[in-house]
Amino acid sequence: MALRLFSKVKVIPDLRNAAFASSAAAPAELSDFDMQHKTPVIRKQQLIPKAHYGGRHAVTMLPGGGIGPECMGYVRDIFKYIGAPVDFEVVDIDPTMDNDDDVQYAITTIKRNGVGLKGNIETKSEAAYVTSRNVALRNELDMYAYVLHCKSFIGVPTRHKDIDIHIIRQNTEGEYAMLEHESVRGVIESMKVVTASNSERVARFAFEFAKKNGRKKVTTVHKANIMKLSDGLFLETSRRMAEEYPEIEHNDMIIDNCCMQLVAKPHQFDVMLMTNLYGSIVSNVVCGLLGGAGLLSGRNYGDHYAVFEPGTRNTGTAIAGKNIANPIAMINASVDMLEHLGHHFHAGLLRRALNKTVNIDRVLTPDVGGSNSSSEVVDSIIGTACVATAYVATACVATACVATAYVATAYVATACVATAYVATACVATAYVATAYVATACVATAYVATACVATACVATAYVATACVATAYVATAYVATACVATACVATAYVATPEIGFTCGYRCFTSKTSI
Amino acid sequence: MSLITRNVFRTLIQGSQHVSKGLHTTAVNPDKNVCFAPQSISTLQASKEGHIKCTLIPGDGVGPELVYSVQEVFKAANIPVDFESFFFSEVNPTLSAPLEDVVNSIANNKICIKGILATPDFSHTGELQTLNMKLRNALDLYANVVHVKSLPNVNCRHKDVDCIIIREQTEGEYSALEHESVPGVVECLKIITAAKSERIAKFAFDYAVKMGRKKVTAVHKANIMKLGDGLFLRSCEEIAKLYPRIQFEKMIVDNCTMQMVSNPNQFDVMLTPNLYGNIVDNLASGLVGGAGVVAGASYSAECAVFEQGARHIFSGAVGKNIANPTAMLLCSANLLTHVNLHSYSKMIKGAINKVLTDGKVRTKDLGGQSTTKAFTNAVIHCLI
Repeated sequence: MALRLFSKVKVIPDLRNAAFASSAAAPAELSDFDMQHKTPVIRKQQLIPKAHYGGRHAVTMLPGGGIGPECMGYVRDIFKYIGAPVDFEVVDIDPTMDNDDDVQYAITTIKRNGVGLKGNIETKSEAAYVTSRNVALRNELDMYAYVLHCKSFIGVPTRHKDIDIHIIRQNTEGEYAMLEHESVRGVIESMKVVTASNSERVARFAFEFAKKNGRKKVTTVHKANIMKLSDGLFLETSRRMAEEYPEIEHNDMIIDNCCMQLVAKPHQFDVMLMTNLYGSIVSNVVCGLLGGAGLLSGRNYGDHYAVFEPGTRNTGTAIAGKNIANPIAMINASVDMLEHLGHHFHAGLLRRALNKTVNIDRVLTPDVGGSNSSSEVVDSIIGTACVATAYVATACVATACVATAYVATAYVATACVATAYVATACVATAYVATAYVATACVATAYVATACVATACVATAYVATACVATAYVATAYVATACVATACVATAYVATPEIGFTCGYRCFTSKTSI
Repeated sequence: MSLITRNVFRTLIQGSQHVSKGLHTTAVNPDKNVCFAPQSISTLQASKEGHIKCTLIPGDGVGPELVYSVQEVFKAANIPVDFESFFFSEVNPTLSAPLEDVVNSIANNKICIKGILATPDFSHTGELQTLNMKLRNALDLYANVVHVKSLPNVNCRHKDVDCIIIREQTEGEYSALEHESVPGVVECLKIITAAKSERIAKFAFDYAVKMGRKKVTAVHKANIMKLGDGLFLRSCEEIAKLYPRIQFEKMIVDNCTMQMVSNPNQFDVMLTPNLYGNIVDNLASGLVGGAGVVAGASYSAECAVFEQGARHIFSGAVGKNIANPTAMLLCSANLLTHVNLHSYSKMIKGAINKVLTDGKVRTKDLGGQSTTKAFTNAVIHCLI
């Protein structure tokens, strides 16, 4: 699947026509979401028709615990303002319940929608038979690859600048196989499972990812000097895979050295490939380098499904409800989701708004050195997004929100309303300006149409500012009719109104 | 000269920035406004271009009158939607726009509002597919949704009917495969495929989830057409397993129509193959006031076409100014919801509700004497 996900060009035309009755209805380019529904390859599963109706997608939303619900609220607000064609199906998971009904239901909804947006789900129960819900979700949906794009934000002060690393993590096996037992009293064995097939899948994913995104180097992170068989297999597989991609440089690094290198010289890394637990550690290290848990977003990919979530998997229960949680991570995740679904316009819009808010306007929450509340950050993003919409000005659904704001009673966000007045302001400005010019110069501007009037008035104005002879010359240069009209009107107007410039026009004329 | 003109103008505009700022903005960052100044004119045009484009097919019969009513309301409410109009008709083929043009327009705009197209009872050319079917097949508009809901102050036998009927409309009896094998014997093929059945079932369940509904009823005749409708039914059952929180039940079409007229409140979402859907749609529309008050929509993966729920052209009323525009106005409101213009949609729905509740302006089908125009004006007056 990874292969297919990245090679959009290879879609066979008749395959497309089979799915869409006519080429007119087929989209010009297939989104990643479409690809996943077209190519069930590795594990045979029941093929479910995709939830994509009338241009709108249905997406499962799992708010999770801690700051999840409030962040999801922000995402929904923003989606409403930018008019993103996505319908959320919200599934709440009760963290205190010991049974897995809610989780199973959540998994079912992701199966039928194909895409999910999730916060971090708490597993409160310590009981051994209750598995971690996040892990259950990933295993059940077979989402074997986790991608975290670690890119520095210019607006967030950090020790290292310009970091740009992709971390790709095996997401379903390794130390997270959840196979632990007590063989004799006091001795517990925990199994780490590495399989050739899963290692190969994720390695291929990593190299295809690097190729598609124009990356130069893949670094495999391992501990094969100690775990010679398990990590050895992982390393061996990625080395073998590297031979298929001669254009991409491949090297490997031991996990402990890797962590040291990351905090000392992070710029040497490009794409990093690793097993499950190392991935968890390394992604948190890099998130820390870039400004903490609240900024980055992670993506889980399987053959059929994709789930988007904040990059570090912390619930943030301590700061829930205090309006200080950083919403950027969740919003970033929603941008990734829009990209995945193929709504590039809305994704771009939101990404630009995000960039402006964080890097230019620097509206930030306390955790990344700002002093704003979560809702202020969100308001800023909404405001920027709406300004952007007005500028982009395509016949797109999104633009609707600005237009809606004309009527504007329902929408109260101040920035948004202010933006909506752009047009009004312009009209007003134009009117004021014209009126000003007219009064200051000649009264004729009231009668003439906007452009003609401005031209005439300006002519008259410049002319009077110069000497009288220059005025006559200019008048002759200008088109005969316009000039005559102007002078004539000025002539008529002057005795009544007697403004200085008009008067001078008059006198100069007579003196000649 | 023109350079000087422009500069003078620009300086003055910048000077007057303070005025406009004082008028309208409270929390806007000042440097945002600076960048507007050089582009003041182009921004104005931009917001005009920011309109949504929508394909408009007036259709036959009273369609053009109803569509005109929609346009009037849109104009009055200042709704940022531009219509791209096509005359499209099967009974008037010489004037009709080519199918490709219409299909391309809808595929580009993603939304369309459409009157009803008349279809002649006999084919003179040997063509079995109607224009409606061609359009649906070309765009793959597989799902038809009719939301049958009792309207205030419309007197009917049943109160509070509120059900959604979802109909597959690209296969089944409408496959246009008919032939005369020997003289006097005509075979008409009804095609049911698992892929399309699953697709419509998934659509129905997803729609139920989106609308917060509790129950989906599959309508079939699998006791007679054991293979065809049987496949449809099995596909529905298969998909229903994915929705453990929505109740699923099955009903045979003949029983269903009886239940519908005797106790319509038991239904929530109904899932039907093509022909049964057509019949149930019309039956249900009759329950709440007729073809003039029920809105519908057809969906493909990419596009949505909004049209009346019960497809009658009402040719008897052409030019008489008596047709009820409620259905078409509700369609337009649904369209606005679909493209995220919720406040406008609420405005139109609110106005229609108010006019109906007041009950002073009623068209003939609802027992009044008012004209289409009068009703439209009443709606416009009630826009808030």
